[in-house]
Formats: sequence, C-alpha cells, structure tokens
Amino acid sequence: MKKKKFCTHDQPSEDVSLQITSMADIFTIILVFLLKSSSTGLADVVPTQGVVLPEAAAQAHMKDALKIEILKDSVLVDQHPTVGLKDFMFADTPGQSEKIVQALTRVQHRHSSATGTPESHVLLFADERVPYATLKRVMNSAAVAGYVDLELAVVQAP
Amino acid sequence: MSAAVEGSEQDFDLNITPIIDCFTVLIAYLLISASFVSIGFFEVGASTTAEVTTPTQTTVQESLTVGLGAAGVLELKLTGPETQTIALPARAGRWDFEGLVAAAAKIHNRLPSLNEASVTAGSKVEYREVIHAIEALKKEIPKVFVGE
Repeated sequence: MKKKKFCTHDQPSEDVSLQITSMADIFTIILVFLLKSSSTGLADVVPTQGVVLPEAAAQAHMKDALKIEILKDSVLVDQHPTVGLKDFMFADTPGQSEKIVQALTRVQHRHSSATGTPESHVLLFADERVPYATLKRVMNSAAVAGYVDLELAVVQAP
Repeated sequence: MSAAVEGSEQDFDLNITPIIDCFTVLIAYLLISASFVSIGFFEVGASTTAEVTTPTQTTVQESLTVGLGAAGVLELKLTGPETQTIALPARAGRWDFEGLVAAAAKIHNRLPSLNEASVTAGSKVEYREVIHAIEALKKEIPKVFVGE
C-alpha cells in the first residue's frame, strides 16, 4: 500500500497508512453473499423480458423442467418461438395446437432417449393478461405430449 | 506487520489494493446482474380431455369444480356421493376469492377425504384470476387441476 506522508511543522514526520483491511473484510462478506444468492436459483428461471407474471403466495421450490412461455405475440417452447399469437390470442388458422404438440413431443423424445423415462413436469410462465382460452389450449397441448404436471410461475407476494 | 530478517527488524505491508479493486468490480457486476424478483410456483395437474389410461375405480369419489364465470360469479360444484352447487356472487365487481377460501374450508371440513379440486373459467377470464382461484383453493385442498 502506498504510504502517505503528512508533514507537520511542530511534530516530527510520521508515516500514516490508510487502513483498508476492514473494508476488504466487508467486501468479502458482500461478495460471498451475492455469489451464494445468485448460485442457488436455476439459471433459466427468469421469465423473458416483457412477461408480467401474476402475483401470489406460492411455494418457492421448483424442479428443473422444460419451460413454456406465453407472451403477447408468441408461445415459446424451450425458449424457441413455436406459435405466433395476436394480443395473447391464437390465430384462426388450423394446426396451431399441433405445432406446440410437435415441439413438445420432440423435447419429450430427446428426454426419454437420454434418461429412459418420460418427463411429466413443465414450467409454465404466462403473462397475467393471458385469457383462459389460450392457457387451456397450451395446457391441453402439453398434456397430449405427456406433460401433465404443471408448475405455474408467479411472482411471490410480499 | 513486522518480520525479523537476519537480526534486523523490517516493516512491510501486505498489498491488498488489487484485491479491493477486483472485489469492487465483482460486487458491481453481481449487483447489476442479480434478479431480486422472487419467483414461486403452483403445482397443478392438467385436467384434459386427452386420452389417458387410469385404473378403473369402483368407488365414486367426491370432487369439487370451481368455475370462474362471467360477471364475477364463482360457482362451486360438488359431485360424488354428495351433490351441491354454491354460487358466490361478485364482491365489488370482482370474484370473491375470500369467500372461496371460506366455502372450500367448509366443504373440506365436512368431507375430509376431498383432496382434489378443478378450476375452470370462461374463455376471456385472465390468467391472474385463475391464479387467485388456485391460490385460494390450495389453502384447503392439496391437489388442484386446471382444465375441463
């Protein structure tokens, strides 16, 4: 550490060093806290930008599972846009649900071939303004692909 | 700190300034990238018309269905050995979820074997209202299904 020299006229010169050891201690504690709090959650549990999750008092724990998101303009399966939406509503064109089923079935096959057992859990991140008709269609598609245990994401109420 | 080197005493300081610099950068990065929103999850089952293979049940079990209807009316339908329909009118123009908790508690006290409930809603009912209904039911009934 750089030592500062303070000269006084009356007293002889004296070496004064800035004590930063205590600051290093505080920084270490803050760093450990931040590293621990950032590493406990799963990496992709944060919803996509623009999704307003509903607020409720729910359980904090979760299982690592496939993520389905219902946004204003699309449905994402495993973070890939699968079907387009218009103001949270499906278009009238046929085959929309089938596209979700196909995407989910592909992920299901990949999981089954890797682990030998089918996965039934899925995390659903839906905007709070999503109408029930859209929600039901996505949930039915998930059920057809074998995902019958849903974890509905909400923001924890204070 | 002091150390004796070949008989003579010498003062030296451990240079922790670079460590402090690293810590400052790391703390700033972690604070910026940290997400302080706590996310919770409701575990529900998908109640669907999709074909599923279930063992044949010989006993008729009671089940509760909660419907979020138009104009804020909550309809509770109890089926099974005992059949009952309760309609909870809107309170201040909104669904009466507090009334739902009370009604579910009353039913559950009368029928302790009732462990499942389903939530349905009108096509235009928003997801947040469905979540509030699930939240209210979960206080009394452990397993909640969403769907048909």
